[in-house]
Amino acid sequence: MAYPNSNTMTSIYIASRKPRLRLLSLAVFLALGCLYIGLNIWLGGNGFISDFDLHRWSKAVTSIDADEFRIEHIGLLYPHGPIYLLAMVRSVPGIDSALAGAALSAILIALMFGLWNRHLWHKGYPLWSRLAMVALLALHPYSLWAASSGLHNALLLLMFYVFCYGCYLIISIHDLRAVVLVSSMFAVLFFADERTMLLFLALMPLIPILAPSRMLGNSLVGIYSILGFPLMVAAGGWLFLNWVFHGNAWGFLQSPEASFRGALSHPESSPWLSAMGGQWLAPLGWALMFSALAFPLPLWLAWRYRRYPARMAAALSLFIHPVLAVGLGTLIFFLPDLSGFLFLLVPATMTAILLMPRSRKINLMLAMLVMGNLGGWLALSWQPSHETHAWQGALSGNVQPARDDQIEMGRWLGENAQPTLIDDRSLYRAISARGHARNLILPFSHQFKNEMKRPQPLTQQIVVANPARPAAALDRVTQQFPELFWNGAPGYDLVYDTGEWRVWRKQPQTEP
Amino acid sequence: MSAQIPFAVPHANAHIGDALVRDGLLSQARLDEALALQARWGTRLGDILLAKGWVRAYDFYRTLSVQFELPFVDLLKSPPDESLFVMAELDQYAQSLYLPWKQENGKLLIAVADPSETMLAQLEDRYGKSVRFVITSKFDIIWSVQRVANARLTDKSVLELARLRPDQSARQVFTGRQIIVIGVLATLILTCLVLWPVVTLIALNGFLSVFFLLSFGLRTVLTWVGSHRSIDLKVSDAEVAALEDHDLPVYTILVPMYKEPDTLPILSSALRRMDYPLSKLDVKLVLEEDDIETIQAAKDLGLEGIFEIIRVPHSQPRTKPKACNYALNFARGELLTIYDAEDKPEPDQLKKAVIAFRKAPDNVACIQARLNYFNSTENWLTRMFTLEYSLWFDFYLPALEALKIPIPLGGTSNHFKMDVLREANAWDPFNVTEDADLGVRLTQRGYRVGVANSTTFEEANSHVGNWIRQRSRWFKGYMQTYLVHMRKPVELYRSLGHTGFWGFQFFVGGNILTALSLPFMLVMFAYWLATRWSGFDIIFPPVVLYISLFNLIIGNGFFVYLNMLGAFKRHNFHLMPYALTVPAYWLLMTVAAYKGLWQLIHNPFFWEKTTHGLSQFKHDDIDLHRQPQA
Repeated sequence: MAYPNSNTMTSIYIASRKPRLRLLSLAVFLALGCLYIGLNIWLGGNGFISDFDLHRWSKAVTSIDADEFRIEHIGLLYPHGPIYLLAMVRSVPGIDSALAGAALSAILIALMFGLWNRHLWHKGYPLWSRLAMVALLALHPYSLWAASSGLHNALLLLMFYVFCYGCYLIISIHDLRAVVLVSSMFAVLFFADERTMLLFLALMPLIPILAPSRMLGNSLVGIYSILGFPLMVAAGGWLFLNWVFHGNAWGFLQSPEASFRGALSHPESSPWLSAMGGQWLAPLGWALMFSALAFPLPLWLAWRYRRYPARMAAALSLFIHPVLAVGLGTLIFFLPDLSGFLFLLVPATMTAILLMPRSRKINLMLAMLVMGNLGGWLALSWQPSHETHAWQGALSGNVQPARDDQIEMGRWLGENAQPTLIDDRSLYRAISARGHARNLILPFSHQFKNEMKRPQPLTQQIVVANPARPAAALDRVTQQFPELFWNGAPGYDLVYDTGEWRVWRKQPQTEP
Repeated sequence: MSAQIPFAVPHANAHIGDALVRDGLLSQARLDEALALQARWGTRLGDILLAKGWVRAYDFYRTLSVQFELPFVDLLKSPPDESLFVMAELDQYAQSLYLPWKQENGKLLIAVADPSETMLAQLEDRYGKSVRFVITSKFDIIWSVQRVANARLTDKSVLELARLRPDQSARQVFTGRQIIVIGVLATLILTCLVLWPVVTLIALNGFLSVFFLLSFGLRTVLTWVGSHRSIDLKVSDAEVAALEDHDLPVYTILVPMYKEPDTLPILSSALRRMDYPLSKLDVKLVLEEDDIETIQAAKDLGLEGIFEIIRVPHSQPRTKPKACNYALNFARGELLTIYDAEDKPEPDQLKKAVIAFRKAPDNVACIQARLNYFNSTENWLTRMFTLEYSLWFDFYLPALEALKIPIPLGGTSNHFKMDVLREANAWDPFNVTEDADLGVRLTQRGYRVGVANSTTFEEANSHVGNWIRQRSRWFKGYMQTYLVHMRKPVELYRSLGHTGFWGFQFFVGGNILTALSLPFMLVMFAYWLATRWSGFDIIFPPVVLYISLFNLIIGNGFFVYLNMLGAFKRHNFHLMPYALTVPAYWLLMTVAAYKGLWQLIHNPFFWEKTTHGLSQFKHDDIDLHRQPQA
């Protein structure tokens, strides 16, 4: 049975319509970019800003405003990719808001759909069906969520689409370059997202299904080596860097603050982990059910084109891949909620459409996508993490109450930009709100370390936490001066108080 | 019988077969077979009979002389009158197979091995209607030309490039300007080291780190480009099958050898197996005149007429390119390639090269076939060598071609357009990697080098000492090539363009610098690992440190991965784990690089001979169809 679209037809299209395609892809990109930026503005207006974006933005701000850039300043507890991206954005004059992360997320997701529009065109889908499919998947709740819940999600989504597309090329044209692309993608992804290792582990049992039989017949070990080696280098490099800079190769997995641990340090705050944590089969079953609910199209396509067993198996593998990752992530108390991996079914669905012969039942496909969008809301609402719950609330127009007063305090610190002793581990939201890190004395600086050796502080302004609150456990200034919050210090006045945080300022020197 | 021949041939040929049969020198069955081949190949009957070895050359030319009613002369017994030789026409004598023999009764006698109407007419035009002809064998002509013009041909082989383009010859290792620049730079660095040691060390460290980073960047690009599937689709099997034999050009194959009598039977059988009309092959066994045993072995084999022994007279430098230049004087092909004695090219390689040339733009002057090894599993060294070659020829060279960066040609299996090769003054006899140099020189002259999807399997060096000798020569040659082409960097930049120039810097220059600087980096890193000495901190300011760390982790990891990828592409899966040991291989390279540097200064033109035949793998056991394909 020949595929409905032929290469000849495609090449004819290429010759005559490529400039138009570029223009249309650009239009898709711009339209979706505007849509997602609008979404982020709406969410921001309702009090939601991703905690991830705030944290990484503060890292970008402190690294840019420091006297010199040092990896040690950023630390090795989280992948650096998003920080470097944000640092680049922060270097652009005039950009000083943590919302830059959200804007970047919008652009990345729009870019992904722009690319997919091109790939659909190559597949021979007519304009209206392409636009309809792009629109429906772009409006899928998981796409919306990825575009506005933190740069890491947007970055992972885009890179996962590149991975899926690489798999598509391996399966359809046995391209060595695609093998290079897929394997390199995991290495790059390791520096961009802490979920990479789990994704690779989830992929391992699926590789024999995804790899073409010609490659499999030659050497299965060879395929695993080629696909896994770059990731091993990246992970080994990270261990080495931890050892070089912090003397402990495993520090990035041991520190409670490390994002590489996922939700392991505070599983009790996640309803999903409270219910499912440490289990394997049950989360897998739930994940499978919600995947089918939110993304029925790949399953339908696999059934419809079961006469192409290799492609059917590949589409199902890409569908199963995030589900397996959910299972693994829940087993080790990493994953705070289902959405952490299930949103990757967006690119898996996009690739399933590419993998299969062009369907004539476009209306049915669109109906499946509509059903998926409805199911997606259900899946997203199932035992969401605190962050996802807040996102849903803000999206529905409920103004989110401020989770702490850090942002207000940050703005105040921006208006009173005096030399300030502050710990960015506990006060990253304040630093993000302050907009810059000039005049801040941060833990990596010599001045901070010197202050930590004194019995009494000397800095002009000091921010300390209420020792009775959990935030104090992370705050080195509070740990060094535990009495400061309550009693102050000789020669210091209390100038700002949120109940959880206080700012003490040196009294002006008076002439004798 | 002649009625069966569909192609126009000189009228006498229709009868030469009958005459040979009549004289009992050829069987009727073989004549029939030869005529059938003639119909396919489109060459003269005599060439086919000689190529197949079905008639002795002496008998053939004697019969030919009877057929043409011309006298036959044995030039060994009646040598030509040297005073009649016009030295400027030596090339024509050697390539068109004629020479002025004697002057008798005021008439010039020309000895010809090819008494075709066209040839005779050409000679009458050149020497006048009164000229008379005698028949001789092509071997007599080659031998006579060599005997009479040895000194001149040798001089030409050695010095032609140095005379015509001294700026492109490695005869002078360092130019005066280069010595001044190197001297000034060394003095400057030493002075700075004394006056500002820390800053200078930081600058040197920074320079090396950035250089390695860019070198890594180039190799990333080369891998990306080289992994594209279109790279492997240059010539398809269907195109080879569609090729008509009678459309094929005459192909010269140079086989330079030295003291390799044992490989001769293997080589000759490999060449006989080539999928190419034998009568269109012009094989030159290029042997040093003092290599008595190989010459004798060649004679004893009684090789067919396509094999010609070219004895290269003793002269300095004693290098392979000089020998090839010498043999080039006798080459008659439209295309030319070089094989080493132990090479096993894929049988259809010549045809693929022909097609590749036809498909390529006119300015493609050379097609490089891929090289790989048949004894890859012999030991660790052969495994590493195979990994390296797989990467080099299956990824890098096709990518260099695609990016229009000069390709440092491999030592063998490079196929040239003869006219361009001669126009470029062929190989530089003073350069010990003449092939790499020629690749750059061709690119500078506006030509391009392509890469064909055909492989020649060679014997990988299996002994460390032998490997270091060979590799030290390669490094020395790369240094020579770099020095020659960097004499006029601006001119090089103009001729190669932006990509070509920087590609040359990082690909050729980068290989040298990486190998030479490795020990310093390694010692420093090992010492730091062992002691965590903070003294190094001072020469590693943050940016330099991060670039160095990137190079150390990602760069080196990537190179290991590349080696795996090379093995993967060629389906050498069993070699993939060995890629992890490639750093040890780099250490060997460093030893070779320093040896090459030492020789560059003390003995620049010395040719470190690689000993072949050390492998335990027997050539006869090697089945090309079972060798891994890219």
